[in-house]
Amino acid sequence: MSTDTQKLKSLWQSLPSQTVVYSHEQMRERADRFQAKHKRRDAMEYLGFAGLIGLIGFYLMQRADWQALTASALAILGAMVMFWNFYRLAKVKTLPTSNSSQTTLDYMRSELTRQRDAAATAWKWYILPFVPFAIFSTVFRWMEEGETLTELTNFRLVILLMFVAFVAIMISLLFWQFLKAARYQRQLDELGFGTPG
Amino acid sequence: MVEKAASQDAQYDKASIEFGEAIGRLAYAYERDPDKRKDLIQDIHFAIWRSFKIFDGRSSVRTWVYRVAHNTGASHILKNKRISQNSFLNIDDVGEIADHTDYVHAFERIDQIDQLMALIQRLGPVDRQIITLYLEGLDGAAIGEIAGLNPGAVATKIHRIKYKLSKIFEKGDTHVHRHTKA
Repeated sequence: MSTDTQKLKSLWQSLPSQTVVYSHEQMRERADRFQAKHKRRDAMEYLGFAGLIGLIGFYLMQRADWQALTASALAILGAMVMFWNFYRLAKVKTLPTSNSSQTTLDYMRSELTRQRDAAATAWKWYILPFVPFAIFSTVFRWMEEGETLTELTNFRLVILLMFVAFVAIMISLLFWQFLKAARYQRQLDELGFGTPG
Repeated sequence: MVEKAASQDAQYDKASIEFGEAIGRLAYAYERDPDKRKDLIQDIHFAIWRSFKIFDGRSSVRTWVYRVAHNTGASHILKNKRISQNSFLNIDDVGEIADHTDYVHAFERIDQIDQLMALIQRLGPVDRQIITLYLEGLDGAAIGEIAGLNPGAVATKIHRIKYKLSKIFEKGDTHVHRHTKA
């Protein structure tokens, strides 16, 4: 076995590799690019939020009754909760090198736990905030269409299909996120055998 | 502030010279595609350079560098779940071969490296780290400090992985005999 081990070590150490030293300027440029990328992403999110507010404003200009106001308030509230979470999670991701020098076992545990929790709770931060808006809009639109609540007009059919599509997308997203969370949990379980040193 | 940046740069320069080759080899364990491997090596260097901003000397530079490098590799495999299986080493990748006319051994060597890489790349991040550090020549205590395992657990893991790796040479010897007979 020890001869084989030596052979393996020499095989490994014969892999072509050369010392590369990057200049400090290259490193600083890369750090700047990294920061710029995050700033761009933040800017896109703020723009998205501003766009949504603009759309709601435009809608309110068309009809400023209590139902429209309530739906708009719910949409804005949902968007605010979602963007606040974007901001909060992005801040965690861009923390400086805080955990890069942990032992690999700790690093893997913290990374997998973070990703598992993010996947398992994504519905809470990105889907749930819009549920009140979706339900209110659907019910309100349904009721707005005549006095007989059970009659299925073309407009109500469209509303119903939109709601079903919304629910279907939400369920698919939930399922996909739970699968992701389960995969991270499996990977965490596989790490479990390691005894911290 | 300026002093800190200068110290960060100086520590990076020293570490990249001392561990540059090991970092290059380590990248093989995490990425098979040559172009992506170059990017990974640059990512590792960047992570090491950044990390020296907060290096407090509580661990040795070697432990620190290997931890940062392997954690960057582990992040790489977490981000890229599907690692390319279609890229294989070619003869230029194998380094110098003593006797250039000895093609049987040259190809044998490529085959062994391919098998070694295939096995390493199938391992989980922690096992992958342990075996590459072992192949780099680090002892159990040093590996344990880097990976976060006690020396006993490291020894058990090394023993198991070595057993699997030794199969590569058993198969290799069979191939050589077959070529020689032919």
